[in-house]
Amino acid sequence: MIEVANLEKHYTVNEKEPGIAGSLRSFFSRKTKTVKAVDGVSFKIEAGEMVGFLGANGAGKTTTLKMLAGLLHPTAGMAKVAGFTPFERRSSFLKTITLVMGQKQQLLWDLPALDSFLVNQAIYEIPDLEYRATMKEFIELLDLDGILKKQVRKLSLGERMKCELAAALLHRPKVLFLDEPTIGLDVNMQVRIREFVAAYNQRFNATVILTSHYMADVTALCKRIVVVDKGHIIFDGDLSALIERSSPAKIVKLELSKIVPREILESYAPVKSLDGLFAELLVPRLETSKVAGRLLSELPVADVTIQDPDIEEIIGELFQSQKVKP
Amino acid sequence: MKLEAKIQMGLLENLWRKSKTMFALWFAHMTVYRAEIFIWMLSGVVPLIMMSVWIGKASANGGTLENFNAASFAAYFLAAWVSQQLTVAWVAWEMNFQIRQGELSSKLLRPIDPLWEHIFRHFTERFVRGPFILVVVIAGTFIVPGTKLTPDLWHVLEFLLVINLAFLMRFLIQYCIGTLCFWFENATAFDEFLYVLQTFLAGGFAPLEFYPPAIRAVVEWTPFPYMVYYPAKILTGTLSSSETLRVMLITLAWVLAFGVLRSILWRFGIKKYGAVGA
Amino acid sequence: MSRYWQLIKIFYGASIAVQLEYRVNFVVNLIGSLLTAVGSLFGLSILIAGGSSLGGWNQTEAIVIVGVFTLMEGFMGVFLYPNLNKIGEGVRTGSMDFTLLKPLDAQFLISSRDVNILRVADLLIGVGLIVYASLQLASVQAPGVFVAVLLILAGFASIYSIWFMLCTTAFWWVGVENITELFWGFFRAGQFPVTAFPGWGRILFTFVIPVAFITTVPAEALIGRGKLETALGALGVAVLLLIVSRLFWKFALRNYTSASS
Repeated sequence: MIEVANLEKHYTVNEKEPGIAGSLRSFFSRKTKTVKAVDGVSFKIEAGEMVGFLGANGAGKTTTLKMLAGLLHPTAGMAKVAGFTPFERRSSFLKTITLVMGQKQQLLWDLPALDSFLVNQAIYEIPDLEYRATMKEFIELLDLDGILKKQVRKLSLGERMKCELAAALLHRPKVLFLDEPTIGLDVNMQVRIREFVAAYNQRFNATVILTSHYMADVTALCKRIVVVDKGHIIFDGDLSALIERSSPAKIVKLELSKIVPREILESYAPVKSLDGLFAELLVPRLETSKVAGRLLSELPVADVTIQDPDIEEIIGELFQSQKVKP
Repeated sequence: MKLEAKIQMGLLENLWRKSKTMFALWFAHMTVYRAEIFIWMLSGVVPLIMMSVWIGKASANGGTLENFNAASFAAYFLAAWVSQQLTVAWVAWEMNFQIRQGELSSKLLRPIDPLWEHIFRHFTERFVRGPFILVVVIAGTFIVPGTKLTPDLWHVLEFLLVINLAFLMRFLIQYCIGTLCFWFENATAFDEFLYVLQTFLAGGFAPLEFYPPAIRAVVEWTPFPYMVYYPAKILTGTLSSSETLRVMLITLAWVLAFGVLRSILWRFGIKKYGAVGA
Repeated sequence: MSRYWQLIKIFYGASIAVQLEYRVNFVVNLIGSLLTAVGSLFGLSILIAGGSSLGGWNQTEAIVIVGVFTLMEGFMGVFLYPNLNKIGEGVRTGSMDFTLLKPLDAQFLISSRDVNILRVADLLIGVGLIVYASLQLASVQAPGVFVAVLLILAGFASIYSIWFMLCTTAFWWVGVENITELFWGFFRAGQFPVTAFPGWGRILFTFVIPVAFITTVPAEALIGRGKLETALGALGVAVLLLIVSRLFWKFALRNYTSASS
């Protein structure tokens, strides 16, 4: 469904130091720098697959997505989506895909969400029958009752995101590009959105590329992940394998009520950081509840949080260790 | 020969690149002062357009029209343009923004009247615009041969005094309109009405000599001619000293009148603002 | 074709519905339009005092030009200003991405999104002035009227293209929308016949900022003074500007670098 070979995207940026001195200097000799946002990326995705794209900010995920959506002209390389060349932006191509960007929306701001749907229906030439059927399903799946007639700017962030998704999928695209769709949403809403995407994928056998900062998004939806860093792919394969391999530990954050010396903490688990009353310990996944229990009963703990390491950290570890499978 | 040509080409290319960069720099700098340029351009062009029209009329009439020839029209309208540039105020728009967005509350907490901040900002903008104004004036004097503004330094000083009084007057009028925002949603509409009146009555459209006597008599009782017409006459050296003194006094009177009005409106407005809740 | 019409119905319908909710705004803008028209006519009377002509146009004829000018101002205020000046914002905020992803011409989507019904009085006053003056002029004949309407439409097209090109530069430069204010300012020269300007003014307003083609030429056609060459010239200019603005737009899209996330 999606085929990418040696895709590249370069930007030329003017380098200028700040201030008047910098302005004057650049007046006399301008320095340009080439930023390689995407530097030779290749992969293949079959129809119906849900793939997670992970990477730090600026790694090139969004740029790749935008090239696949046809928004950006690749500097080099080949990309094919559903048999089309994205950049040609043929009408039939655009009807096959959709791009959803968290924090940004295509819904018309001062109109009720329903009007945005009608606009999309007209633009995508969705027949009335299909439109009504799709709307019925989405209203149920996303619980849109009661919010469709309200002006978009009066909706909460979560309600807006639900409507945004509905509007983006109204034309039943076969390929979904989701760029951080759950960012800024509360946990319940995140779950809702995930369930919706999974249901859509099941129902329409849609191909999904998802980028996210939240491990939970990726673990819930994607079997396969692609890790991008500095414009390269450094991992492309099974998610569970990567997790176990490179983040065998969870982070246990402790807020102590009394200062506890480092050596004592280290007897439980490696200490990631210790700052006064706040400590972070790296506890192996399988032992988390056991260790946490011991910590709570044996140490003066005021508060405890257990979380997965940040994706950035997992990726960081991907470099430092040799655990990467090409 | 080939090498010299190459070097020359290289230099030319270099020069071209520098000019482009310079233009881009100037342009980037200008875009930082977006709001000011916006207003500058908006209020700018009418006197310059009218200059051409009246010069056209003069030449169609055999060269002169009521004591004005092409050169004196050019001088008048350049002076009118400068006067307009130096008296423009946008405080009504600023106040509308502050009141609507609730920013006014934080300003009211300070021990000084927000008026001073507005005045200060307006004053500094005029310095930014100074070079542009100078460039246009100098360019303008070349377009029509024989154009000159007054060479007399005394007139220039008088002009500077009068134009600053005129600016204060216009600023205060706008401020009064701004206070109306406490009561009306659409107070800036009054500003637009004022703008239309100014365009046609202040002297930027035509020197008042060309207005029918009855209408001119009425207009002289409004503050409008003191914004553009009279300062322009002073700058072109066509106003007698007794007239100049009269203009100064009247402008000062208007400044005091609007100053008092704004104090009254401000006091009542703040009360309303506080009552409704910031 | 029906897609486009349907979208215009939705877009315009929504805009108008929202604006009609604020009746005071409506009245205020109406007064503003009337005041501006009165001011223009007053100004004209000053210029034509004592029966003199303005560049060879008598008072009634000059009113036709004021009418065409007001009509054009209305066109800009109602259809162009609310839409085209948002291009820069779209590029900055990234909402341009969504416009470009739709399987429908982006230029159409951008240009039809909004309508400012509050300035519709300008359109009506413009037409009103044209009709009022035409009725008093014997030289106004049916063929002239027909050509004039064509030329007015060409004028709309020219203004649209120029404005659109100016706003397209927002793909590269920030804050360029204000250049349209400059254009709007210079356009005020269009309330006078181009012959009212001295030589260099005529050149400026014919070839650099083609105001003459937009107001004077249609008015000329209407009052029966039209020349075939200038009429064809105006049509040619309109077509050329449409083509150039479209090509420039395509060029901008090809080099679009899309705001990063």
